[in-house]
Amino acid sequence: MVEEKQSSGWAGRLLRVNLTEMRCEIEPIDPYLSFLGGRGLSDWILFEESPHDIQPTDPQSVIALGAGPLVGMLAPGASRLNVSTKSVLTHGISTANVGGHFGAELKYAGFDQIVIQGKASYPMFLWVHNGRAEIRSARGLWGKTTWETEEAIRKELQDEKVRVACIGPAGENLCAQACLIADKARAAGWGGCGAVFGSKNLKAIAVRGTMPVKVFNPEAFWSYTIKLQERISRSRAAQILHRYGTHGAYGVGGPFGSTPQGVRNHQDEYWPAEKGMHLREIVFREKWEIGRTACFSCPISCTHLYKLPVKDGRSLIVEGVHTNTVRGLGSNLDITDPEAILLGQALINQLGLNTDGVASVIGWAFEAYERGLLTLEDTDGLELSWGNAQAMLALLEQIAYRKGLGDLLARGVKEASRILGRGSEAFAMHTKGQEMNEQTVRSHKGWALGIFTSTRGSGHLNGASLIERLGMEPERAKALFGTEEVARPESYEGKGKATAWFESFKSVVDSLGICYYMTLWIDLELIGLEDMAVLLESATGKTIEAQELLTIGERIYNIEKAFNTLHAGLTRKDDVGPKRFYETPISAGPFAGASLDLQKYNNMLDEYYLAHGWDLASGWQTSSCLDRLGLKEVKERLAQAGKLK
Amino acid sequence: MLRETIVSHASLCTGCRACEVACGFRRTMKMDPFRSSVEIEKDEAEGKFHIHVQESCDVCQDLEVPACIQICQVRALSLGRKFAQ
Repeated sequence: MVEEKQSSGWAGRLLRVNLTEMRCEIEPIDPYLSFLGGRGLSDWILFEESPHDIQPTDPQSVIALGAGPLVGMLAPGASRLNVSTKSVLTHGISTANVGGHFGAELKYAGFDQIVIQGKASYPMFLWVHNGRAEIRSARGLWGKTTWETEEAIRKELQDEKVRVACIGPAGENLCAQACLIADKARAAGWGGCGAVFGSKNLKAIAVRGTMPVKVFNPEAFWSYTIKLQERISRSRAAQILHRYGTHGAYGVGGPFGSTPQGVRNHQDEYWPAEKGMHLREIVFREKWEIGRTACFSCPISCTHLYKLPVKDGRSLIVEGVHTNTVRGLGSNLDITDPEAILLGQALINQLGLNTDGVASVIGWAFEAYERGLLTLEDTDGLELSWGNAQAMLALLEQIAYRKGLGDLLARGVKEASRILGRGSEAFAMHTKGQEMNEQTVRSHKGWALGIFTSTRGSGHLNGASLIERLGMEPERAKALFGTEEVARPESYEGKGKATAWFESFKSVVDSLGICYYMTLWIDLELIGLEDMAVLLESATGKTIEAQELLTIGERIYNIEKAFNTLHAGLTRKDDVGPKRFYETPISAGPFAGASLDLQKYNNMLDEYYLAHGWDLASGWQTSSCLDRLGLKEVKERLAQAGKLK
Repeated sequence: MLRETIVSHASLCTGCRACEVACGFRRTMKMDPFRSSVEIEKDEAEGKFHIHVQESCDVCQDLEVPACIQICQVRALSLGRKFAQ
């Protein structure tokens, strides 16, 4: 058992749950702290404890979820919970990440980390409270939506302040797009992690606690937090996010309507203003907004709260409509009906689906229908024509319950296209198997590189840098990335270095547990490595210089990379992305004619591998890189597998 | 006689709970929302937040600006005056 001595910053405990044996054990967190917490700690446990030859939905599969040392503290945006699993889609690593209030409550319940293995013989949920944990029956919860599940658990536990992270029908039915939903609308979306929960008969985790978290140097921590809050309040990017949410800041072409975005399954990235105008943020705000909501300790509150009248005088409270929603369910499907977008997001939240995943696979189905590869017979009479909002809504339910065509789509776009065949693989939009719902891929070359090289499969939340949109002073750009070209969207120079840098940087951010919107990712004046070092030291007493933090981030990213090599056999060819982005240029708008050049992309990829110290031909890691990072065990495992250069 | 008090503006609240934690922190020097004189309650059906300032609030007499007001970035809390009993 863990000692009752509590460290500062960390709650001090790691909870191990074996669902096969119905056993909970508590360990001290201390042996794992070289990886900080959250993503770093979860990744290491996943790497250490996952056999290479298992399926993500096998009982031996590991779920490692955790909140870093700043979560539950007052640092801006210190809310994030990381959920690492073996990805159902890529068979490599998945690091899903969710805000809301669950992570902070986990800390107050006395835990930093939960590690789950095994499979329960019938549906269960985990109840974690004040340093204790118990596994309880979820027989009565199976089949319920995420919203019904949260309400039922709070009722059973007779506490309205219990925080719940749970799966919906999609997770129970092992859909590749199933995610974990916290606070009814916050999604740990990536890698089909909801299906891993479902495979273990684990419906939910409920947390509640009243245990305080110590602060090493309270006065220093408080004064630095206030200083950061002031800096955030002065940031133009943060102000835009606060005022308009991610929808207004980045969605439907961004604030000026000129940002390229995925259109009709990424066939194009130009959506004319006469369509985009129907889905502008102001349309939603004026019609349905009743307020804003924030994750724990967030000064930005980027989430709109909408009240949508439905049948019989009732209303639906809808959260979680972000830029990815309006792109994925809007331009990506050519849908211009804002009400359908709201209904779609509400369904996605209730059913426990990942917005990007379902948007991508539905886009593929629409295109297959357009090309005559799917017919009315295959769709049970549903017309999958571009712009058909009712078809989109119907498919969301079909996917979650694996009914009709939904059973095919619930396998993920890569597998669905393999089964359908007939050339449909060419327009299955994924990288490494992870579905994508993107913007500015053809026009902003570094953004594309960050998406295609992401260890999560695809997605812009690892290495993809916003410097191409924000601009950067030439001197600073040269000092950090060797060239001022890094700030020019159309250039392929400096992007490899920038991507590698942001991969390490964001590994640190996720391991401490703060939100990217508080960091220099969105505004170069916001929280950087030096700031994180100050917060970490005053919170925990642990002194780690900024450069050493970045090295820890690099270690974490290398653990993920090695996991992908060992578990999924990924190589350089998996870092190139779909051909469509190279072959079909943007049709119109300010970036008309833009597409990726394969030769230049490969040069950029070389620069990226060199920045990491990886092998150019295979994309594998090298002895010298892993020696430099002190990752002896990772090196040995790769060498044993014959996958080390 | 006039005495300062915390005035809440619930329509501005986004439910981040920083005020709860800041209040507990100021009392205990720990992240401890359960020793707080402020409580945020979410009305799930209406999607709104209620702010409850408890009688135990001493308006941070030792601070120039109370901790909850310092940390709230949406100005859902402010300093007011009330007539003491």
